[in-house]
Amino acid sequence: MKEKILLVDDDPDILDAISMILQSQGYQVVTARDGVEGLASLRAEKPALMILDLLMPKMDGFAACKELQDPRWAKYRDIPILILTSVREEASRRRYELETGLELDVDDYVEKPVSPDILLERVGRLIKKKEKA
Amino acid sequence: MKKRAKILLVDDDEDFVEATKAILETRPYEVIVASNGDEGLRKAREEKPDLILLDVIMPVKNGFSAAEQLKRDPELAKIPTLMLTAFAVKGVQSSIPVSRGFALETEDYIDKPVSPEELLARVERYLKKG
Repeated sequence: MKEKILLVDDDPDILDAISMILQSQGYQVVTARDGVEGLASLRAEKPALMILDLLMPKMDGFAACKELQDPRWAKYRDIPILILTSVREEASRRRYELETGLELDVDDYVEKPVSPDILLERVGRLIKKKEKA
Repeated sequence: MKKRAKILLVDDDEDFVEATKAILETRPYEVIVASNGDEGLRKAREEKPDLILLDVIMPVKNGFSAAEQLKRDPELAKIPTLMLTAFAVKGVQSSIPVSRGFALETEDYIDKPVSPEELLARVERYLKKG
């Protein structure tokens, strides 16, 4: 079995589709449907990577990223975050800055729709980078 | 006589509210205050202001969520809404994603702190357009 990936998205179709793509390469996949569940899973599962949607109910991806800046999440900070969203990167970064005054500190940003090949390449790159670190 | 313009100021920072209210009241504006997004939405519905000044960061309901609800409501969407932010706004205006399928287009962003002249100039500009 390969690395464990946490996938956070409120759209069940996306969860199914992306899980299938990741599992086809042997990755273990854990899913969560909003930021609250996502952060709980991050703590419980200690995945090798978190794939995070931005626009979700309860706690969205922006709020989850902001929460992760808090010192009590320090030991989870080496888990890379890949944002997977239909929102354009520039618009997301702008909103995060207006809300927090900080730069959105994520390891990669992929806009939906994404082809399986590209997603797997980006995922593989982040996981390799983490192993080297 | 022309009716005084009504401005709704939504911000949780009491000092900022007091100072801004004083600045706005140097003009013939009627100023209504709310201290969070929920209260702001309620007052927007009740008072039908001519312009809304809305802080981005507030407890209970932040400015983005409140602005999304304003702009989704056909009655309130036409009220010019200026967002107040403590973080410098740079570059071109772009729509801000706030929820699935909804990108927020508000009329303007104002950096805090803002000089009285600048604040009044912006308010006046959007009141005229309305």
